Amino acid sequence: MNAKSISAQWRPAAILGLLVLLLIAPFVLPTYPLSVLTEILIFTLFAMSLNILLGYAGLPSLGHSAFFGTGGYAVGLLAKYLGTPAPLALLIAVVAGIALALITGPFVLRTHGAYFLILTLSLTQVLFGIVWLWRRVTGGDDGLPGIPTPKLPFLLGRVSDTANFYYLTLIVVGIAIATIAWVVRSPFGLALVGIRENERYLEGLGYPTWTLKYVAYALAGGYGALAGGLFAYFKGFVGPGQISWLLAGEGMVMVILGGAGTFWGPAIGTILVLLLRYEVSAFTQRWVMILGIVFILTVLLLPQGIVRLPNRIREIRAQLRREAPLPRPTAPAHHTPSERAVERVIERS
Amino acid sequence: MAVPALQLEHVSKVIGGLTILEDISLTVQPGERRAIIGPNGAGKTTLLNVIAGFLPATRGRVLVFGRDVTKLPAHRRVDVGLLKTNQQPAVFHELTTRQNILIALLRGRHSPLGLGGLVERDREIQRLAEQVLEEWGLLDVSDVEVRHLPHGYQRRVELAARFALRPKLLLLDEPAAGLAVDEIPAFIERLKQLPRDMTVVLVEHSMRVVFSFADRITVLHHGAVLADGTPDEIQQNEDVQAAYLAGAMRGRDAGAA
Ligand SMILES: Nc1ncnc2c1ncn2[C@@H]1O[C@H](COP(=O)(O)OP(=O)(O)OP(=O)(O)O)[C@@H](O)[C@H]1O
Ligand SMILES: [Mg+2]
Repeated sequence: MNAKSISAQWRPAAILGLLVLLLIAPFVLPTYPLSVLTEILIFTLFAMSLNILLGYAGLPSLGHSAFFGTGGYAVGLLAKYLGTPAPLALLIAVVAGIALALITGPFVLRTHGAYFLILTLSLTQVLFGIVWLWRRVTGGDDGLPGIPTPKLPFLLGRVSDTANFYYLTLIVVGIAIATIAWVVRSPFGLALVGIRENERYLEGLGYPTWTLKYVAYALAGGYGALAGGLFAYFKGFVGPGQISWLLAGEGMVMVILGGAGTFWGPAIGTILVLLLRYEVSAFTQRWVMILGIVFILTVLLLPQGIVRLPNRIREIRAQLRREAPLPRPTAPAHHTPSERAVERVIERS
Repeated sequence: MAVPALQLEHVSKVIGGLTILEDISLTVQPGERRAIIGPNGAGKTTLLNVIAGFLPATRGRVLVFGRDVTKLPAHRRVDVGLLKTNQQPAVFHELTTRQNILIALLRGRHSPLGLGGLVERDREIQRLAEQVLEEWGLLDVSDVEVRHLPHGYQRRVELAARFALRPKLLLLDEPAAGLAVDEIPAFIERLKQLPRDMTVVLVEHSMRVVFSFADRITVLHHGAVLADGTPDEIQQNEDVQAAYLAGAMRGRDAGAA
């Protein structure tokens, strides 16, 4: 309790510090790390949008790349065929993501647990198939290359292109993340946690749980598509890989690794996964294996994610001072949101 | 005559070809305290779930304050003033006591979607939560996750959350089960202090609680109404004696001794 209020006290200062660091990053970082940082920002948004479903509402989606890809292809198609300016294209990407969620929601949200996982996965596969086969429009497996990178005009070309796009990403992702923070801390966000904990109990208190899930699904779809749109600009390219369920799985790893159902967890998970991919792969091709080991250790030792590491260390230190045996993890393993999602998978199957 | 608080008309429930409830009709008047008793497996919990909307009735109608709610989903029945507690306390285990109360209060005050301001900045709601916590003696555990609380406290959190929504018709499914013997008198006191304009339907095995609280008692047996009457009538009823009561009372007293 005490520790919580102390960290709450420091939160504004910490966020301000982080913001300053992010703002000056282009002046201290060379081009390559800066582009990795840009990618981290984009995937943080992706992971946070998935976290609304997986972490807060306890809906284990393995199809979140469907929205990422929809956003990407919206941007790619608009750039290729209509030359739509970036702000409008990103807006349309978000609308497309929300629309996809509103259309598919009534089908996938009928199910829970394993069935939800499989249905969302299938949704991704269907979209993947459409993109793959509809070569004339989508370019098939060649994708759509040559998407022009948008530029922030008011930076007056004084910074490099990499830095310019970095700032654009920072602004868009920053605003999106701020609105996600508002959503999860609103009564709606608390209700989502109620759904994760026990949907029936929440309904018994008079909440229209199905509608709440539908709205959450649409929001997650919109944010996911925004991330996908940004990524298409970042790469200057969109292809079927950006819709593949492998990407959805990676998102799941980011969320669970960092801490599902916590606000900053997905950001930490994203940083870890991308740093492992880009830094470790410089030494060895086995980065996926190392990621796997990190993932297993985290789930075993920090079931609530890496974001809980400081709490865990504090607990252990407090316990050592009292010379008592080591405490169990902060929650019994089967009580973490992600494990609960998995538990439900087992229950329903 | 006043509109009944609860009316069941020929309600049946069939699950997987098995008739769990058969042609149940009963009327509960506003302000009445009705107990529903019966042996294990008689269908008491199923009946409450049909009334609250968690299970659809296979046949028959459910009316709450004169309104036909048979087709309404559970969350819409809360709008009519109906709330239910669970045999296992219906609390959110990973939320703190305060958050459990807040979730209930926010339903009462915000639009269904509740995409409003920030919960922690809502002074009014926080003040109300503080009041509820104090009233139910939960201030000490307000920031403890409910899964760490003993059963009796979890029950209190459940009841406090329901009362925060000011129910007009309250269904209680074995609220005294799992309480320690010395907690029961205080619990009976609390039940007796419920506002008289609230209608209460109580499913309970503890005859001590039932006979000190109920105005009328309905006895369920094999999914059908076996008897219906005042506590005295029920105690005298030979069918009830044979089917349930003697055994239940003997069992309870032996257990308590
Ligand atoms: N979903 C279901 N499917 C099949 N049978 C069920 C289902 N739910 C309940 N039953 C059966 O219906 C009967 C009534 O169950 P119910 O839980 O309503 O009894 P109860 O009177 O509340 O018992 P207890 O006093 O033990 O709580 C039992 O025989 C039970 O096995
Ligand atoms: Mg029961």
